[in-house]
Amino acid sequence: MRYIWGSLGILVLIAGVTVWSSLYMAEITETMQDYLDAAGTAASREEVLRTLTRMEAYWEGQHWYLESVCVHNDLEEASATLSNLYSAALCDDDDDFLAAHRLIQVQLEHITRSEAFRLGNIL
Amino acid sequence: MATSLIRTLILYFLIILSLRIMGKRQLGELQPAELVTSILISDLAAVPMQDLGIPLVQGVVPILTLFSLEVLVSALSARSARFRAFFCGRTSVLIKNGVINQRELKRQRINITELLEELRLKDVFDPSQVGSAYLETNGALSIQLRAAERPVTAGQMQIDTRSEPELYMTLIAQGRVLDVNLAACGHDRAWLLRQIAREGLRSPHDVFLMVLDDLGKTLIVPRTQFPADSGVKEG
Repeated sequence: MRYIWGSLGILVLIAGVTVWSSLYMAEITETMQDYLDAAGTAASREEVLRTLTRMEAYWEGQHWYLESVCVHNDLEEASATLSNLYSAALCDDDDDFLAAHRLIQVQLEHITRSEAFRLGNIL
Repeated sequence: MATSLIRTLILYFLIILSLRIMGKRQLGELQPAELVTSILISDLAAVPMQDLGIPLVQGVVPILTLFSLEVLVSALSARSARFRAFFCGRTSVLIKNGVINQRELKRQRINITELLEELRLKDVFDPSQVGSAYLETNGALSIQLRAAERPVTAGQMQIDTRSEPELYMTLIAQGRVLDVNLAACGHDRAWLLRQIAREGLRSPHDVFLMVLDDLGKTLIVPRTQFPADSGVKEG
């Protein structure tokens, strides 16, 4: 019986971890989206930069988890876009800022969808 | 490169651990599912080994899942005949009382030529010599010859086999004493050293192999000493 319970336990644990990971990734994306929305609607350039700095700090704080579960290329692309976003805000380049803002949203959505527990991914 | 090395080490030990826990039946591939699992595990391990951009967990999770499923299925198969029949199938009788079951051959999609080939691999060249032939769930063919075709046994000849050994225990392997086997034979190191001394050897380290049978007869192979420079010189 111990083999049955042991293997069932491992399967349940793996299933639990994967579901948790999917939910946690969604939470990260939602938080990043809130930061992006705040940066997009900020009244001043200083406020934009402050919001982006907090966003980058949050992103860096999640790096251990992200590097453990995400394809590294996707992660590097997202990090590069975040840097471009910050640079665009610093240089007050609205076009580049909007482009990077849109791109990071798409990249975050891609990362979340890759990790999400959905039929599309299974198929 | 260091990342590749460490990932390889992690996955290697994970696979070894999984195979150890799955047990001898996995190594022997008793069922088709076990063959499939072995192939899958090795393929899954190769992916994060080769592509460092893929997280290690994407190799570890499938391997652990397969390993758990395999242990679960084998444990349930051992406890339930019905489950085993569902998962592994049933043994098919291809030849019964010397008669080839043509219907079962057709059901198993086995050609008569293939059956004859399998019989020849079992050193049976005349199918009329076969009493029963079973196609096992792992795809192997088991045969039992007709009584008249079977080799004579010592029991049938009423030969006294009490002077023949039934069990062999290795006591020393490459200089190392196997204390568990020694204790199982009911002997101790003092006895072992006396046996070795009879061969003119001083210690177990000088013995390459020592085997004891259940009649008390020992086989002792001394260790060969190789000179430092024992390579063949080409000239």
